[in-house]
Amino acid sequence: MPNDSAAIEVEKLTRRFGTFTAVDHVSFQVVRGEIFGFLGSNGSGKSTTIRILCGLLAPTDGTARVAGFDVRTQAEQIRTHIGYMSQKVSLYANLTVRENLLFFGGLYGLTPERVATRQALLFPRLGLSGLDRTLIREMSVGLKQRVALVSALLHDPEIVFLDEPTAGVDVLNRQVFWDLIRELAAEGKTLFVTTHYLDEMEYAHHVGFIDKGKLIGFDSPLGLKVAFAGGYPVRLRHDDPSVLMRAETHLRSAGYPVTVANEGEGRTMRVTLTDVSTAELDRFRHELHAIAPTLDFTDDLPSIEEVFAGMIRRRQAQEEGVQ
Amino acid sequence: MTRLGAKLSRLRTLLWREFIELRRDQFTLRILVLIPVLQLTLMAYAITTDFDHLPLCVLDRARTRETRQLLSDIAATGYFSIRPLTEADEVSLSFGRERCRAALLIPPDFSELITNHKEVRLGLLLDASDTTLATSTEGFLTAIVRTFYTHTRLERTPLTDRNLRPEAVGVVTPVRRVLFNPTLSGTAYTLPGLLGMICLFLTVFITAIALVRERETGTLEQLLVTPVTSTEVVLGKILPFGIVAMGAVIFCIGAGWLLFDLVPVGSTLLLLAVTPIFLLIGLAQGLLISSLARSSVDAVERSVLTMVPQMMLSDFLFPLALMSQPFRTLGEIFPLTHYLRVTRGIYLKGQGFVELWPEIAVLFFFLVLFVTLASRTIKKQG
Repeated sequence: MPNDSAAIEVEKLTRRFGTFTAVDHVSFQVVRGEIFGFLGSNGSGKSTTIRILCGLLAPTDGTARVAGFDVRTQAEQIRTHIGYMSQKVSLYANLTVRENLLFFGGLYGLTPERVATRQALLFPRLGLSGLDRTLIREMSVGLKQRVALVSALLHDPEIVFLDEPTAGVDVLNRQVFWDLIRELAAEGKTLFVTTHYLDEMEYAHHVGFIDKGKLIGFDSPLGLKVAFAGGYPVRLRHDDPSVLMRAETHLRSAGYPVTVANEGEGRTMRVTLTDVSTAELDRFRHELHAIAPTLDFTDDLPSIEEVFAGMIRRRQAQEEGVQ
Repeated sequence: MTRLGAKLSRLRTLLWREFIELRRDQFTLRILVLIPVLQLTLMAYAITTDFDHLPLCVLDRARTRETRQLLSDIAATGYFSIRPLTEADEVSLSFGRERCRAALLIPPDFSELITNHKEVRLGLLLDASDTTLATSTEGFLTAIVRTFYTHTRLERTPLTDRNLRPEAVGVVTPVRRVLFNPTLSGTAYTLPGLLGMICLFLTVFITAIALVRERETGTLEQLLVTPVTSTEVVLGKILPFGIVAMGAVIFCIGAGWLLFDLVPVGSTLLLLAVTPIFLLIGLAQGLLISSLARSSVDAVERSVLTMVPQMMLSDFLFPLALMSQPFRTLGEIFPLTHYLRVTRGIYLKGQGFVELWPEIAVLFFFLVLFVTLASRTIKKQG
C-alpha cells in the first residue's frame, strides 16, 4: 500500500538476467527527507537496483514506487521527480559548464533564466563560481563531479540518486559534497547514495546492505553496529588500575558483561550495554561517576566497514555450513 | 507546455548540443570534412579511369602508306601515344613497363592483304594486370582498326549496288557507339558513385561511433533518466548527421559542376529527393551497429565489416555485370547498389522517376526494414 512518508518503496523487487538473479526479492523503504546509504560490493546488485528505481531497467518481479509512482507503468512521471548522478561523470566533455547545464536543464523543460537561478543558488555552495565558460574536458575529476551534481539538481528534484558520487575524489572534495548532501536532506530532499567510502555512511540516516542480490541488513548506522556487536560496547580507561578494578566488581555485580584487556601501560576495560537508549546511557554514566568522578567511557562500536565486511563473512560462513 | 511542444523543445535542445559538439570535436569534424574532399580528389584526379594518351608500342613490319594511315588514325583519337619499335626483340624488352602498356604488331603483308580484300590479322599484346585498361585498349583499338579497314575497302572498291548492301560493308564494321557517357569520362562515372560512398561513410560510420561513445562516457544513461524519450534521442542523432551528410552531397554535386563541369543529365531535384531515403537507411544501419557494439573499437570494426562488402558488390568499384551470378544476387541486397543505379541513372542517363521507381521502391523497402530493426534493438536494450 502507498505510504505518504515514503519517498521510495521497494517490495520483493527481483531482476533476473537469463538464469542470473541480480536482485533477489529486495524490500525496503526510504523515508522522505533522509539520506539513505546503499552499500554493496561490485556485482552485488546495487547498480541494478538503482537502474530499476531510475526507470532505466524494468524489474522482472516485485514492485517499486519512487515518489509515489510505479517504476513499471509511470517511469515518465518518475523522471521529472528524480535527479541522477552516476559515478561516470556524465557530462559532455566538449561543452562548457554553462552549456552542459543549459542542455540538461533544457531536457527538463527549464528556461535559461531558471537554469541561471538554480546555478546562482548552487554554485557558491560547491565552490564553482566563475567556472561557467570552462570546458568540462579541462576540469579536474573533483570539479567535474560537482558540476554533475549541480546538473542532477537543476530541476529541483524531490529524490536524488547519487551512484558513487565521490569515486576518485580527494578528501576535501568529498567533504564539500557531503556538506551539500546533508544540507539538501535538511531541506527535505531524499538522497539515495551509494559509495565505496564506508566512513561516509556515518552521515546516512539509514543504511542498506546488499550482497549477492539479497538485502542482508537495513537499519540506522548505529542500529547496524549494535546489532553486529550484539550490544553497545563501551570502553573504560583509567590511569589508576585500582579504580578500574573497583568498577569491574561493581559492574559485574550489576549484571554487565565485562571483559578486561591490557592495552599499553594503562588498563582498559570493555563493557557491553544491551540497552542503547539515552536514558540507559545516562544511568550508566551516573553509576561510573559514583565509582570514581574521573571515570568516563567512550563507545567502542565497530565501524560501518567492519560491520559490512563482517556480515558478508558471516553469510559466506553460513553458506559454506549449509553446503 | 503541450506534449508536442515539450517534445520539440527537447529535440531542439538535443540538436543544439550536437552541433556545438560537432564544432568542437576535431576528430568528427575532420572526418566529416575530409572524407568527401579526399574521396572527391582521389577519385576524380588520381584514380582516374580516363583514357588519355596511353603509351602504345607499335612494331610496324609493313611500313607502307596504309600502315602510316592506320597509325595516324590511332594517334588522332588522342587515346594513345604511339611509340614506334624497330626490332621484334624490343617488344619483349619493353612490354609491361610503364612506357609500353600495350603493343600493336603489324604484319609485313598488311597492305597486300587489304588490297586483296583478305583477312588481316594484327597482333595485339595487352597488359592485363589492369583488366579495365586492357579491356578498354582492346575495345578502342578494335574499333579504330575496323573503321580504318572499312574506309580503305570503300576507297578502293568501285561503288556498286552490291557494295552498298549492309552485309557487304556495315556488318563487318561494328563502329562502337558509346552511350550515356560519350567521352568515356571516368569522373562522370565515379562522381555519382562517390555520392553513394560519402552518404554511406557519413551515416553508418559516424552514427555508429557517436552513440557508442555516448554510452561509454555515460551520457546516454544520463539522457535516459531525463524526460527525454528514446525516440527523441535517436532523432537527435539522426537529424544532425543527416543534415551534415545532405550538405556533403550538395557540396559534391556542386564540386562536380565547378571542377569537372559535371551536371546531372536528369533531374537534380529527383536526386536530392531520393538521397534522404538512402541517408536514413545508412543512419539506421549506424544505429543498429551502435546498439550491438560493445565499444567504440567494436563499432568501428562492425562499420567496416558493413561497408566493405557494399563497396565491393555495389557496382561502385567493380562492375556487377562482370561478376558471377551468386555475387550479382548478393549485390542486390545492398542498398548502395540501388542508390548507385539512381545516381548514375540521373547523372549519366538522364533517367527520371518513370525509369527509376523500382530502385526507389527497393530503397523504401530497405528504409522500413532497417528502421524497424534498429528501433527494435534499441527498445530491447531499454
